[in-house]
Amino acid sequence: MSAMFRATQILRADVAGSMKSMGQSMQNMKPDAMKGPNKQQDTVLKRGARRDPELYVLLGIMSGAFGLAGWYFGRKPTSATSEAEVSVANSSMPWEVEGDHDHEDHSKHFKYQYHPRGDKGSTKNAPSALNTVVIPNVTLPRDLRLLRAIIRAPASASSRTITRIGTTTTSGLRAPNEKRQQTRHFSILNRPPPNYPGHVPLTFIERLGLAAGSAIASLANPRRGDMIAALGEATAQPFFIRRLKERMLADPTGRRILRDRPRITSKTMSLERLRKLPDNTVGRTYAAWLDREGVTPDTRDQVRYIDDEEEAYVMQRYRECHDFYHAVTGLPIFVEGEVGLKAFEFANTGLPMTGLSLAAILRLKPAERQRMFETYLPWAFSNGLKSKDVINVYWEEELETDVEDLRARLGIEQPPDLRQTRKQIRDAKKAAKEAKQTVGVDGVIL
Amino acid sequence: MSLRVASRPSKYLCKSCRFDLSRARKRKYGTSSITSNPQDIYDVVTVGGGPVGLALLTALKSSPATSHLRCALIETQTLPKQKSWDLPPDQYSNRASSITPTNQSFLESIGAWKHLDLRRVQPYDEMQVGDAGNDASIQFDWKAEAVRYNAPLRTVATMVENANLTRALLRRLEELDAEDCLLSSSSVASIGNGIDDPEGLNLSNWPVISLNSAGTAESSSTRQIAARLLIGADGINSPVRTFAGISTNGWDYNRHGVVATLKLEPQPDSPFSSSSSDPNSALEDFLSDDTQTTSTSPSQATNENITPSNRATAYQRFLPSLGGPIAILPLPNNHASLVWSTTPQIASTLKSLSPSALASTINAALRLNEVDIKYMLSLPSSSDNEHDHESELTWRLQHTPQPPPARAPPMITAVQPHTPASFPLRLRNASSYISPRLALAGDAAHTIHPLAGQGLNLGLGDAEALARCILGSVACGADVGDAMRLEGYSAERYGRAVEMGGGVDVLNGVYQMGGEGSLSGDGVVGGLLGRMRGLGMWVVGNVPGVKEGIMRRAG
Repeated sequence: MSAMFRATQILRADVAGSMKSMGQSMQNMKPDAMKGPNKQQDTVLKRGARRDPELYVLLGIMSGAFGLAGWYFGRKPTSATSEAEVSVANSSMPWEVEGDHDHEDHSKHFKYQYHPRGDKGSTKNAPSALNTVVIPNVTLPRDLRLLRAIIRAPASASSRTITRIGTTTTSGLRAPNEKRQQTRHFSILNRPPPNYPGHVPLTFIERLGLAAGSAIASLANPRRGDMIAALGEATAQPFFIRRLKERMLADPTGRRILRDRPRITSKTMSLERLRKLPDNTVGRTYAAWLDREGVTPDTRDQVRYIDDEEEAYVMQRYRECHDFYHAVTGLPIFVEGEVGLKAFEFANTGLPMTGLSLAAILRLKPAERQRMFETYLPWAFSNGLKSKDVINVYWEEELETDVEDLRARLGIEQPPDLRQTRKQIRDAKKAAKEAKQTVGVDGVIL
Repeated sequence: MSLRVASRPSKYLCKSCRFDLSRARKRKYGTSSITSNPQDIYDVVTVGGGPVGLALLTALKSSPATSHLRCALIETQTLPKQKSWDLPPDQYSNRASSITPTNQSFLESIGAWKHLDLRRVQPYDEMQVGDAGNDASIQFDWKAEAVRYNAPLRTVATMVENANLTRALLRRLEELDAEDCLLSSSSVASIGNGIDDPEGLNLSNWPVISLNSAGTAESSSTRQIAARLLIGADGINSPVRTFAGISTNGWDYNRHGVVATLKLEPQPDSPFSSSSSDPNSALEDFLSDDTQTTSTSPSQATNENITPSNRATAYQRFLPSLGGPIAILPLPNNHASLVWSTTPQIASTLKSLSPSALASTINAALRLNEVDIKYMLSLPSSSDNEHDHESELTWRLQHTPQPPPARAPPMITAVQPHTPASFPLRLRNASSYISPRLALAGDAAHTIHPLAGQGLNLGLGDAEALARCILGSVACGADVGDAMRLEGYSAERYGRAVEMGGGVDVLNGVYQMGGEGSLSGDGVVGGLLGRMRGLGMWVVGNVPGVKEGIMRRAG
C-alpha cells in the first residue's frame, strides 16, 4: 500500500514541480523551457506506470473478468434440454389442436382429415405437411416406451413435438440402450460408491486440502499418527502407490503377498507366541521391540482415501509392516528414530509422505539434527537405495528366521543403536553435571 | 548386313536395339550367351510368384490393351499346389493380410476378387487402438461419416488369407488362359545381360535370366530367357535387385513378429450387431419412437444415439516395454489372426508355450498391465503347471480396470495348433525402384514394419501402378522397358512407400519409448512419455479431420 502511495506521491510531486516550472517558464516565454517540463512529465509518467503496482491488480481483475466471461460464453451454447418451455395459448397453433370432432361444426376442423379406404364412418388425420420429430421420454424404462409408442400418446407433457421445416428426419438406425445412461460428474454432492469398506472417495481439491492440512498438522505435532497416515494416502495417488504396487507385482514374493492379502493385527500376530521364539529371530526382536516401545500391532489406521482397492491394500500393508522395519533396523520410536526410518523408507519405497516427513528434522534439537545429518540420513539413503524392497518381505513367513540372516539377505546394515547413544550422552551429561555440582564453582548450582 | 527376320518379338525391336553399340554397363554379372530363339524372348518377365507378382501378371492379362504381351512369371514353388489349396472352414492359415478398399477395387477390376472364397474373408469396420502405458484409445472407423450421411458403415479393410488370394489369382489366370506364362518350380540361377549378335538381335541391354527348373522327372534343365522388362517381385532378398546393383537402406528392428490363428469367444449380440437376439426386436423396431434426436442442423446430429452396425473389429494394443504392439485381426466364424511384434526372446518363449498357456498369455497381453504380462512370460511353461497362466490371468483381471464392453477386446479361447510362427521384422527400402528394363515391386522394393498391415497393400499398389505404366507404354507404342517410361511408376510409388514405411517406423519408435532398455525406462520419464503419447492419441482421435485423413491416406 505504501509503495502505491509512494509512487503516486512522486507522480504528484513531479507533476506539481513541473507545473510550477512550466508556469515560471511560461512567464519567461522560453521555448526550450516549454519542451523541458513536457519531456520531464512524460518520463515521470512512464516511470510511474512501470512502477505502479495498482496496474497489476487491475490486470489481474480484468483478466479474471474476461476469462470468466469467455468461459461462460464459450461453453457449449445449447444442450438438448436447454430450450425453455414457452406457454402458448390454446388457439395459437390450431393445426396442432385435436379438439372434439364435432362433425357439424366444420370450421373447427383445422387438421386435414380423410376417410381411410373410403369408409365414410371413420376419419383419420392426414399426415402433417410439416416434418415432425418426436423426442420420446428417454428416462422411461424401455418397455414402457414401447407401450407408449403403441398407444401413440399425443403431444402432451411427457413428449415434445418439434417441427423442423425442410430437413428430413432419419430413422432406421437403432439407438443402442447403453448410451441412455449418463455418467454424472463426480462432485461433492455426487460421490461414487466406495470400492472397499471404509473407502471415502475424494475429489481432487479435497485431496489437495487433505494433503496440505495433514502436512501442517503432522509437522506441528509429529505424534499425530492419523495425520501422517492421511498425508500418506493423499499424496500417494495416483503415481507413487501404483509404482509401489507394480514393484510388488514384479517380485514373486510380493505377488504372493498380494494374492494372500495377510493382515498384521494383534489377532494374527500372537505376541505370546512371538515372545517364546529364540532370541535372534525376527519374531522375537519384533515382540521385544513392541514391548520396549509399549505399542501393539493395532495402532495402525485403516486406509480410507486411496481409490483402487489393491493399492489400498498395499498402503495398509506398508503401514502395518512399519513396526517390522523398526524391529529390523533397531531404530526407536521417538521422533529422531522415526525420522531416520522414514528416510530409509523414502529411499526404499518412494512414497512421497516419507520424504515429506523429513521436514520434521526442523523440529529436532541441534544435537539430534547433527546426529541425523552425520549418521542416520547417510545410513538411510545408502541402505534404502541399495537394499531390496522391504515391502516384498513376507513377514509372516520370516518370523523364525535369524535377524542377521534377514538383514544380510535384504542388504541392510544396522545403524548405531540410537537409544543407547542417547542414554550414553544423557548419562555423560548427568555425570558432568554432578561433577560440576560437587566441585561447586562459584557456588552456583547448574 | 542381313537381318534375320525373327518371329513376332523382334518386330518390336527398335532400330537402336538392333544396331546400337553397347553402352557402359552398370549391371554386375557377366554376360551370358543367349540363343536368338524367339521362344525365349519375352516382353515382361516377373520373378516371384507371390501375391504381388501374380497380381501384376493378372492385371496385364486381364486388360485387353496389354494381354497380347508375352509374359512369364518365375516362381520356385509349385503353383498348381497353391491353386489346389484347401482348408476346412474352421481352420485358417496363419498368414493373412488386411487388404485396403483401394486394393480390393484393384483386385475386382482385374477380375480376381470373385475367385476368392468369400466365406473365408472378413471385412472389418473398425480398428480399436490402445496403449498399455496409459488409458488412451482411439477408434479408426467411418462412423462419423455413416451417421452424417445415414449410410452403411464403410469397410476399413478386409482380412484375406494370403493363400486364398494367391489361389484366386491363379484361378483368374486360368480363366484368362494365361497359365502357360507361369514357370513354376523354376529358380533363377543367374541374371545377366544379353549379347549383341551382329547378325541378329542386340540384346546387350536386355536382362537374360538363366533358369533352373526342377520338378521334372529328368535332371533339372537350364534355360535362358530374355526380358524386355524384368520385374522383381521376389521378396526382401531379391536377386533381381542385386543384379541391377540397386542398394538398399534400412535396418533390422531386432524384433520378431509372432503370428498365430486364434479362436475367440463368441461375442453376445451387442446393440452394435445388425441382428439382435431379442425376439421382440422386430416389433420394437417397427413401433419404436427412437428416431434421431432433434438438432438444429443435420451436421450437428449427435452420433451418441445412432451407432451403425459393425461387422467386425480389429484390435491393436501397444506394449511399450515388451517390444511392440499386439494385434488381433478378425477372421470369419469367431476366428482371428494374431500378429505380435516383440523381442526375439519373448517370441521364442511364446512359441514354446502350450496352446492353453499361450491363449492365457495373449488374453493377458490384451488386458493386463505390462508388469503382469512380463510376469506371465517369465512363468515356466512346463506341463506340470499348466493352469498357472490361467489362474494368474483370472486373478489379475479382477484387479485391473477394464475398458467398457464396446471397446473391450475379445477373449481368446484357443490357439489353432501348429499355427504359432515368427518372422524377423526389418525395414528396407531400395535406393531406386527402377533401372533400365527393370522394375521392382512389392517386398523387393520396400519392406516395412507390420504394425499398420500395409506391406502387402503397398505391394499390390505397386502392381497396379506398374500395370498402368506398362499399359501407358503400350498405348503409345513405346518400349515397355524404356527407363524414361518407367520413371512414371517410380515417381508414383517411391514417395508413397517411403511415407508409409517411415511413418510406421516413427510410430513404432514412439510407441517403444518408455519401455525397457530405452533411455526412459519404467520410471517417471516413462510415465510422462506415456502421458504425452496419450495426448497425441487424443489429438488424432478428436481433432476433426486428422483421423479421416490418416485413414484415407492409408486406404
